[in-house]
Amino acid sequence: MRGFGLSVLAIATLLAGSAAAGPLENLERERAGLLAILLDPALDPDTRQARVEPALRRLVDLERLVLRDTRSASDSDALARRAFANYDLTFLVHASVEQGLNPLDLWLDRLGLSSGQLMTARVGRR
Amino acid sequence: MRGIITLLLMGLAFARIAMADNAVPGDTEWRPVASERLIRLPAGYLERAIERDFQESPLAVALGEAGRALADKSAGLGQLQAAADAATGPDRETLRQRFLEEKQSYLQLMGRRHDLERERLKTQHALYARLLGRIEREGTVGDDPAAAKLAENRQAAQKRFEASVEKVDMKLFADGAAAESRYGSEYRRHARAIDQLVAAINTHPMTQAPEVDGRSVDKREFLRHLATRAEADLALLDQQDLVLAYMAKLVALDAIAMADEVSDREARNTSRPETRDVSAAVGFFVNPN
Repeated sequence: MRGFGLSVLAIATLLAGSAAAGPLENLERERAGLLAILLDPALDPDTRQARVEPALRRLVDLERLVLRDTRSASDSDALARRAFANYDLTFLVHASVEQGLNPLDLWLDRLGLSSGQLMTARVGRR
Repeated sequence: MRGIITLLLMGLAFARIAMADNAVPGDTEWRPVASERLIRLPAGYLERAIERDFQESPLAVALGEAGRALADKSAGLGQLQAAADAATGPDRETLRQRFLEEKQSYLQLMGRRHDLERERLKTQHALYARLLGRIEREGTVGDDPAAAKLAENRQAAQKRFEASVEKVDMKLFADGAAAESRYGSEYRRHARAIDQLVAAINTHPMTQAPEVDGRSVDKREFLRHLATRAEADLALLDQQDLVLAYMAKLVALDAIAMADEVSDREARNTSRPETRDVSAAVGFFVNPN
């Protein structure tokens, strides 16, 4: 009985350390979907708007899940480190509302793709 | 009688040599492993888990047997001493000799028990050192600069989020209260259940941090404390060995004294008539024949 208890405790401890795809991975996927809609040149403005609204709602949901998730506090993998190192890019919807910008504008700006920067860019070889 | 006492003295000499040799037979070993399971166990449970592992080892069985034999021997010694004190004549001699033999046997048993106890403490100390080494090699979140930075960023993100959450609700949902998705509500429900379980685990008596001198300590400090305690116990055992050595010496002296006593008595019983002073024979010489 004691051996069984110890085995269960050991398995439970090991399981607690493992992690499946969590809200952070879902957030990354949902944000990529939103950006794809925003950048899709084939969409007319009405269709884009109709598709952006539910995507924004889902993204807000996921951003809040990640920020409020106490379980992910112990998750220190590269994805989590990168995500929390750049609030604006990870929590795009909240950051864009906070700064009064369109999500796409904020995203492009944080990647160094603002209109001004693009206008002053030079074509060259790397 | 003298021959028996000589044998007893030889036995004592052998017992002292055996006490000096700390080797423990191979069938009474304890070989604990500094496993991943031990490292992951709550610190408060660690000591108990190691003790249970020890209790299941052949060394624990041998120590138990030695302890029981010693208890029996101690009781017998007390009775024998009382009987020897009360006896008179030849019975007293026999009982004194038996008492000496039993004391010798007690010392041998105690020496064996010390060897086993020393083996246990050395193994325990080595295990604590191995566990401590593994924990220090693997490190903790507090030692990892990347994890510390992540924790800092996470805290900053949460602060920023809390400050902007109302603004987001007003801007995106106009009514000030965002309708939650099915995934969101389910996730939140599960997260709440997980939080409750984690809180229950954290407050469970088995996961309470161990205490040293009235203050809570982490696993590393607790292991250092256990290793220090094992070292102190080893030092005490060395001191007890010294006590045992003095006991052995006293038994040897008692045996020598008893041998002398017996020898003197035998000499008195079988001796020729005492040679008197030569002046007592003067009368034989001064009278003419």
